[in-house]
Amino acid sequence: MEFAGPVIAQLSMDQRLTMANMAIEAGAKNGIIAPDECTRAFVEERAQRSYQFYQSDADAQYEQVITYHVSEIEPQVALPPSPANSQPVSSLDEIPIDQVVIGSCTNGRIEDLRLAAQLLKSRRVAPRVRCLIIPATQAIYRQAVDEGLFTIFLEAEAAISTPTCGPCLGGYMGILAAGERAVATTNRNFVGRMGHPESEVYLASPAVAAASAVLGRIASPEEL
Amino acid sequence: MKFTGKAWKFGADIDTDAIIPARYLNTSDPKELAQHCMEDADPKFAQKVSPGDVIVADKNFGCGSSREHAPIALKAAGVSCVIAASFARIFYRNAFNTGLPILESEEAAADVVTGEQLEIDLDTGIIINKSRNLTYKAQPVPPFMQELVAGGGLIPYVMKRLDTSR
Repeated sequence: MEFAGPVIAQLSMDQRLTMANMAIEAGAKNGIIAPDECTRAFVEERAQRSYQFYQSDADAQYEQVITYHVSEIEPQVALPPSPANSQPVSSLDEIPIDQVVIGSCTNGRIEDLRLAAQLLKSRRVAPRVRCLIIPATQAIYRQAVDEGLFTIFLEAEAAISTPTCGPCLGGYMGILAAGERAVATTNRNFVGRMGHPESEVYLASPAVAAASAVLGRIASPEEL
Repeated sequence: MKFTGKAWKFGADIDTDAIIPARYLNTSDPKELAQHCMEDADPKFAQKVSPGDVIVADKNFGCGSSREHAPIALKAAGVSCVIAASFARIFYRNAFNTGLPILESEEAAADVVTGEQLEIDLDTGIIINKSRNLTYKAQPVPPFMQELVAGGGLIPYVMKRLDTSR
C-alpha cells in the first residue's frame, strides 16, 4: 500500500510512521511513502551504514488507486471490535470511558506526546478515568522529559510508563475489566484485546484521546 | 496429503486475539495454548473440537497480531486444516511456517455449516462435503509448501535441508 499526494508530502516522519503502521490493519503487506527530503533528513541522522533510496517504477501497475479529500475528513474513531469500524468523532453518542492510553508503536512519538501535552496542559484527567502515557522508545521518553512534557502530564494527573507494548495487547498494566471501556491510540481493538472479552477499545488519535481523557467520554479536541 | 474431519464454521475477520487471546501468551507450550484456542470467538471450542476437525471461516481469517501462537494453538487443538474465503497474510505465512495447512476457498466458506464432514486433498485443492455430497475447489497447495507442512514447519524443514546438504 503506497501513500502519495500533496498532503502526504507535507507530513512529518512521525505522522508518516503512524500511517505506515496502520496499513497492516487494512490488510497490506506494508505501507510505503516515496522517500523525499524529509526521509533523507530522518535517515541521515540515524543511519550507521550506507543506504539507497528506492522509488516506485513510473510505469508500476497498481491494483487500485483510491483518492481521498482529507480536508473533508474530521478526526475518526474506530469502534470495537475492528480497526475498520471508523466513524467521525462528532457522530458518536455520549460514550463514557474508564481508561485512555496514549502512546505505543502507532502513536507514541514525540509529536504525538506534544499534541497530547498541548491539550492536557492546565487541564485534569476526569476523576473516573485512568490516563496512561507511553512513549514509544527510550529516546522519545528522554526527549519528552527534556521538553517538560512529563510535568504537564503529571499535573494533569496522568500516569507515565516506561516504553512498553503492555496494555495494547492486554499484556500488563491497564488491563481492562469486564464492562470497562478505553480510548487508545494503539492499533487494534479486537474482542478482549486490552483485557476482558467484555471490555471495549476505541481507537483514536492522540488529540481525540487526550480530549476524551479530560472529558471522561469520547470527545473531539474542539470540545475542550 | 489428505484430511478428513468435522467442520466448525466461523464468520469474517477472525483475528489472532480471538484465536489465542494475549492473556495466555505467557507460555509457548502448544498444549497450554490449545486449551484456549478460539476462546474469544467460541469459549467452548477447545472442549468441543476433536482431532482432525476443520475450521471453515469467511474472509480475512487471522487478521491482527502476527503471533505464531495462533496457528500453533490451532494445530495443537487438533485442527487439521483451516479453510477460509481469504487469510490475512501474516497468519498465512505463520500457518505454513508452523506446519498448519490452510486453504482458500470462497465456495466452501460460503456453503459449509458446522458439523458437516469434510474431506480435503491438499494436492488437488479439492474439498468434498461428505455430508451433502458436494465438491468445492480451492487453490492447490504447491509441493514445496506441502513439504513445509509434512516436515512440521519451517524450522524443522530448514534443519533437515541443512543436514542433507552437509
